[in-house]
Amino acid sequence: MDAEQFRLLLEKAVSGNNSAIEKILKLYTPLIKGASYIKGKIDKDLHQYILLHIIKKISKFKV
Amino acid sequence: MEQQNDDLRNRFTAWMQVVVKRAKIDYIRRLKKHANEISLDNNSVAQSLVCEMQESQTTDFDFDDEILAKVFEKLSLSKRHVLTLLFVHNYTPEEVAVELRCSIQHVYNQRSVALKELREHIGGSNKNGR
Repeated sequence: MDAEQFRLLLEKAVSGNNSAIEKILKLYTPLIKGASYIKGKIDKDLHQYILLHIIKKISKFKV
Repeated sequence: MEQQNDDLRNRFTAWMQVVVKRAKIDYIRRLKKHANEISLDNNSVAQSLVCEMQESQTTDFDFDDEILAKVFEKLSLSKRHVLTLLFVHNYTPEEVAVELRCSIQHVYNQRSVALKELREHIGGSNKNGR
């Protein structure tokens, strides 16, 4: 994905487009999964919590 | 333009890192908060506290025998509660165990010890009364 495509995708995500948010989440899966570990094991609840947190907050990002 | 879009990507990545980090901190904080709460399932202190809290609701009945009433007051709150549930509310030991969140064996033990104490106290009261 080039930079322009990313900008368009991000704009859609910030405006509340669900599929765009989903794509953004997929793009950042390594970051999210990496943060979902507690004591060396992946915590599925934490993973869900982070996803929900991002979905809630993404509309506040200024493009 | 290309430079601006790269900046945007970098900015968003940094923003995501902060959001993810904050979410994790918040989650762990919530976990610790819940861990500090007392579990009622396997905690005898908590069980006795529950008994004490419910005690006032469970002794609102009259004894026919005045001596028995006085002796009953001498029992500990948890034993009074067990006896009340068993003999006033007609609960089965299993139901009492569920109500107090303790084992059935604990209910049987409390009942037998309480009855034994009652017998001893009544015996003592009768001797003193004579």
